[in-house]
Amino acid sequence: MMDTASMSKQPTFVAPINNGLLGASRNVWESTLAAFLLPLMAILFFGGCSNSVGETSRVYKLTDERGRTVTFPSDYRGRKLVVSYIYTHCPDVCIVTTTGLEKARKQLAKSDDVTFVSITLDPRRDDTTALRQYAELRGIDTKNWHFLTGPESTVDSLLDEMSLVRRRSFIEQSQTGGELYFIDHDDPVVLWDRKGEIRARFKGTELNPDDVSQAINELP
Amino acid sequence: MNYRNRQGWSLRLGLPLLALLAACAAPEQPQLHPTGGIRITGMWGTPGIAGRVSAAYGTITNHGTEPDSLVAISSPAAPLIEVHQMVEQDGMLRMRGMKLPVAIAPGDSLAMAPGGTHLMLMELHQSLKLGDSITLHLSFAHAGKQEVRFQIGNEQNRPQN
Repeated sequence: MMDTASMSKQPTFVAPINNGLLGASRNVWESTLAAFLLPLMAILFFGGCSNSVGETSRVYKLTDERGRTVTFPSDYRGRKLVVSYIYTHCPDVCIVTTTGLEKARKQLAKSDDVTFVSITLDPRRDDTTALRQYAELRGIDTKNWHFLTGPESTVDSLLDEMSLVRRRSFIEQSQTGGELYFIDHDDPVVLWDRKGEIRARFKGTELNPDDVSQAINELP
Repeated sequence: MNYRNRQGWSLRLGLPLLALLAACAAPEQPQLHPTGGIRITGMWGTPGIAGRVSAAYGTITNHGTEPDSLVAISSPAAPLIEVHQMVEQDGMLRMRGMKLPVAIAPGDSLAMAPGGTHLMLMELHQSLKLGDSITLHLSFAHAGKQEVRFQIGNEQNRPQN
């Protein structure tokens, strides 16, 4: 799911073969179908699949850094939610994002109705232990900050639905003979309100913690 | 005091004051030395999980009169260390390796900061947590091998080294 070819693959729409139409009117029907209905159906079909970054219409069974099952995003309805994306082999970008969000969190007027969620971009390597260590080493209190992973297919589906651009890259041979890779990725941070509506977007590497905390504080 | 005298006093007091202000406002220029001009300042590193990665930041300045270059990096903390640069391309943040040697001209610096150029320590021998210290050995073509020891911190609360 991670390579460019598979990420750009779109669902294939196959028009049904219509054998039920009669005689002379068949060409008219086919023309009408071709001219109006097929484009309309295609717009509805592909339009429904193409969310902007951060939106999701489905639910996903994931696991947090303590090994608890989380149904994302429905388990967070009723709370303000700040969603970001990280992976534990990320040397720089994810750390900048995480550090900025931690500062924003400390500035909140009221934090017990806000949950921060960091979803891994690398479910293959990021198990719950790795995510828990990632948080602990940075001194992050995980009471209201969850680090989510899950089966590779589930996480990839979620990231695809959220239109998160990513690509495995910079592959090297590790000292132990294994494969050492990194992930090129976009760095959005998305603020959802209690109803699951997206209310603000930030760029993780450029976010101003003051702006994030203010946006959260202003949400009812 | 007539106008001419006031003007004289203004010039006598004002010009040195202006010169002092100008000197304060001017950017600090590195002092160049004929030999041994490499200076490493402000180093700090990020936490990392054993077997995974950490990044190190700081500034390497060539105060010498001759070009120098970073030719090798090693550390007891990690078997593999590279200079990496983060660039934005095709809507993604991409990491690009910088091959050694990395040249540093006289008076120039290799500035490493979050979201840009950094030293990447890969396959850490043990986890690095906030407050830990690690040692790096940086070898330069002319300035030779330099050792720098620094703390693990984070961007909002950088340790001072």
